[in-house]
Amino acid sequence: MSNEPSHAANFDENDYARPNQAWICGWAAEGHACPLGPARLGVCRSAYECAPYREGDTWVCARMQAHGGPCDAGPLPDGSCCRAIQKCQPVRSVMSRRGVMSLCVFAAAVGTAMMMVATPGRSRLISPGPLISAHRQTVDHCEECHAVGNGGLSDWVHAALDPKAGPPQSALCLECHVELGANALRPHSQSTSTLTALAAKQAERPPTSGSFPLAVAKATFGSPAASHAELACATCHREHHGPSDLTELTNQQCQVCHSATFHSFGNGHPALSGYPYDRPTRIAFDHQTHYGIHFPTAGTEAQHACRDCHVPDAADRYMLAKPFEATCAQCHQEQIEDATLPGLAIAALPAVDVETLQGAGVEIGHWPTIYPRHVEAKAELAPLLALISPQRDALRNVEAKLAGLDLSDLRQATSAQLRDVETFVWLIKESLVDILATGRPGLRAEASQGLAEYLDSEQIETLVRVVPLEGIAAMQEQWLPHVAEEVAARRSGSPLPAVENTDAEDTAADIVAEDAASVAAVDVQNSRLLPSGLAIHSPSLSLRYRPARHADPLLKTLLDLSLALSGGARRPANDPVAAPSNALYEALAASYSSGRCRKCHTVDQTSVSGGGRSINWLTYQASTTQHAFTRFNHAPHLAVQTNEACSHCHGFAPADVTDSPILKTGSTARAVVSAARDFQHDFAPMTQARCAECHTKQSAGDRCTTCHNYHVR
Amino acid sequence: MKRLAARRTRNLTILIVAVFAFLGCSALATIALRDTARLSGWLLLTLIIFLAAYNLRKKLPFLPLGSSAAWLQFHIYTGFFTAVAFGIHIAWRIPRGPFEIVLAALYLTVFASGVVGLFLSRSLARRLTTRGDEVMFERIPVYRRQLQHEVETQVLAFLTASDSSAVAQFYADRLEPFFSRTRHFWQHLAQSNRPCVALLNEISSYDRYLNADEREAMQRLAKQVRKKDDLDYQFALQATLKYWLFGHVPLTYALLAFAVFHLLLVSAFSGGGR
Repeated sequence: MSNEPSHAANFDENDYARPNQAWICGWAAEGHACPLGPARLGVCRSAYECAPYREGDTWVCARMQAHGGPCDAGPLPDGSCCRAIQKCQPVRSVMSRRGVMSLCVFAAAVGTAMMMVATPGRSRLISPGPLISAHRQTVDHCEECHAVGNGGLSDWVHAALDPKAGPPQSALCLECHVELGANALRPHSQSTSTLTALAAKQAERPPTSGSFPLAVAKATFGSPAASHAELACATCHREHHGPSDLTELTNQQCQVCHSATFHSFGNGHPALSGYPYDRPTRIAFDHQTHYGIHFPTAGTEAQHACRDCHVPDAADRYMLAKPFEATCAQCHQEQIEDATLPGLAIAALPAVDVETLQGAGVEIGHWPTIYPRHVEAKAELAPLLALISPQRDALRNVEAKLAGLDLSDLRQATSAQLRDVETFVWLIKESLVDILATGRPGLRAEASQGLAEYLDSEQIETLVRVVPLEGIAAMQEQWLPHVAEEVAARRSGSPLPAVENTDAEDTAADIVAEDAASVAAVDVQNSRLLPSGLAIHSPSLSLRYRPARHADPLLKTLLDLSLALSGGARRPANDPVAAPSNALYEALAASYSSGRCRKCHTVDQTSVSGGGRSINWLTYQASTTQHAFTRFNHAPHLAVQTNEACSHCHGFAPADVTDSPILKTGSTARAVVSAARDFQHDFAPMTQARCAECHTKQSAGDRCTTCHNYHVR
Repeated sequence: MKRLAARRTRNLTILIVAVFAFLGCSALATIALRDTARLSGWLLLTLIIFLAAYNLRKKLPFLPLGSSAAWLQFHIYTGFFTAVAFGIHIAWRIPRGPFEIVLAALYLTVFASGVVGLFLSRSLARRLTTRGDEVMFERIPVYRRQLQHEVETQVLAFLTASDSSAVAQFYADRLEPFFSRTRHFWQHLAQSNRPCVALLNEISSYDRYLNADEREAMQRLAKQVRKKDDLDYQFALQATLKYWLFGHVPLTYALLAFAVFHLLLVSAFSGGGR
């Protein structure tokens, strides 16, 4: 190893090195670099080896020792050096070469970026990553989701510098995701009022404490949904990360907007209030009685007993009720067919004491008589007929005057009451004549004018369609065959045609029974059957309807219409349609009404403003579009079933609940409840502890998104 | 050494604290559903620009911007910090888009070249002090040329003074290639003396065939061989210290170009994050 210096530190013996300059003399590597060095642009500035200086009259050579010292020849007489330096090819210094290389690489990078912008397949090149599978199937190009996707570089620069100039990215997302509704971007896709109500409800809960990082995050960064402001889709959904879960969020992220926070599902999560029975079932069903009394042997295999009536949907997500025909029909089909009841009165003529009226000189024309007289007859027209009558308002006035009067025995009536009865009878006749004369077009015109306040156009059309005009015509033909001539004569002021009153039926005197079974017994022989389930029932001077099967269309339609007409609650007495609509609904919803629809089908409050109601005609239907706050998937739970099966989670409610008359099979209370919310469930709500047995972080998972939807609709 | 250890401990402590603080803030921002990719992206771009500015700082020594040594320390530790910021920015996932992959690869290459450079500057600089004296890199070709000239002068002088051509023949056959250019680059980097020792052994092996004058001439040549080997050693190590920057610096500018393009794309396509 040598420690001897490899060079001398004598400046006179060394060239002047210029490592920081861009160019170096081409002779440097040969050991005799030009003292001047190259020019800035790499041009050789070679001249002479020295610049002679003058001593007295003599020019002296000034060549450096490094280049050999003063030359032998010495300067020329004119003082110039005699040794010209040969021109060289300057070379770049290391630093300069690095600079050039940097510039080239930078230019190449910029060029590559520009090429990416210009190339036809740029979508694939500039894409930050693959989309999730759902988007990949429907989206092919950037411009389908991005406003500037189709633009050029200048558009991108403009959009980057002024991001608010274009449409928000979330708005573009919502062009496809219309199912999220008008409040899609608000927290949980709910309106501000709903969010305010939910926040107030949450504030009522006892204070809880979440994790420390969550508290710090909230204190540091605040809630992204402060004041229920709109949130960009990208707040939670990060696209272009491949086939990852776009909805993946941590429990802490879910809670950052919530005032009440907690550690985990098993530690601090609010109790499950009534879940999953926080709403009444659509079908009122007494599980305990059926399970314990009607089918006692089913209890030996609980799982099979449940599956006698319930079946998983196609995705094993929901347990659905089997159809009526596969379950209830075995025992309840006869009740539906209404074999022992007289049926629903579509139209009816009141029994009127014709003899007394004639004696008092009150002229009502032809009217069927009925015996015995002790069958009380009120001054009320059948509800459906009253609703569609053009004389509806006049009928309501006269009915009010005659309230409490038995029309079948007018012997004690005053002369004013007799005149009102006369008016009432003629209004009925005019109604029949007008309804039958104008037919359905007339009904449509009348309903559009008189019921538009209560029914929408579709409902009015439905009403017009279902009114059994043929049956009403048959009834009129049977009992009031000359009513058209009579009404025409009365309206023109002419004398009424002479027609003799006759008994409705000879057997009418046999109607003395007050119980339904006896009435039914004489029903068949005293009825004239018409097509479509209609029958003219002579003893009661009525046109009646019996459902032929479950889900009878006419009864369903009339129940829906009557519920719509009666509104969210019973209408006040002074309402024009109050009496007939309420009467029609009660006739259809009563315990022993035809079809007994409301025995099982409950009523829901709807979201219609003013508080509408609707009948649950169907059991719960699995919907792919419905997104409630909470969801449940039976599939993984069914997969780990033990012998306890369904009852492991679905246990019966305590006796004090299930003893409620509303729940009991055969209870008449059930049919009279005004809405399904009065119905109590006979299963005990599930407890959080039961769920938390498996739903831990290490086992079945305890993420918020396991059971909760964010977008609620 | 105490000062160096204290400085290193202080800087490492600051780095570790900064990393944990950043990781904590990032985790909190993630919990609060903030766009951590955007935040970390801006931070990363700022840091990369700052790191790239170190090269400019070296070109502007007259400006009172702090000492170059302080900038280097900041450059090193900030460079390590960017690795964490980069990890947070890509959410510790491997990018999937072609452009993103290139961008990430560029960053990782620049980072890796920086780490390699740090290692080289720490190890080679120390090794440079173990052989020869401090030589200016740009002058090494000059010295090599001077050395070759001296050797050739000696050989010619000996050839003229004596009738023997053994020394001249040996120089022409074995030493001329050695002196005419830089040799044994990789062996010097690997701290290997084997080529030099082999050459010296070869010179020694001729001793028994030479007379006293020839032996003395050969001993002088051996001395020059050692000087040339020291010069080659200096060249190999100094060249490595200079040429690793040919990867680090240009790629940094490419990274900057791509990062700005990435920022443009993200800003334009995100619709302002709304």
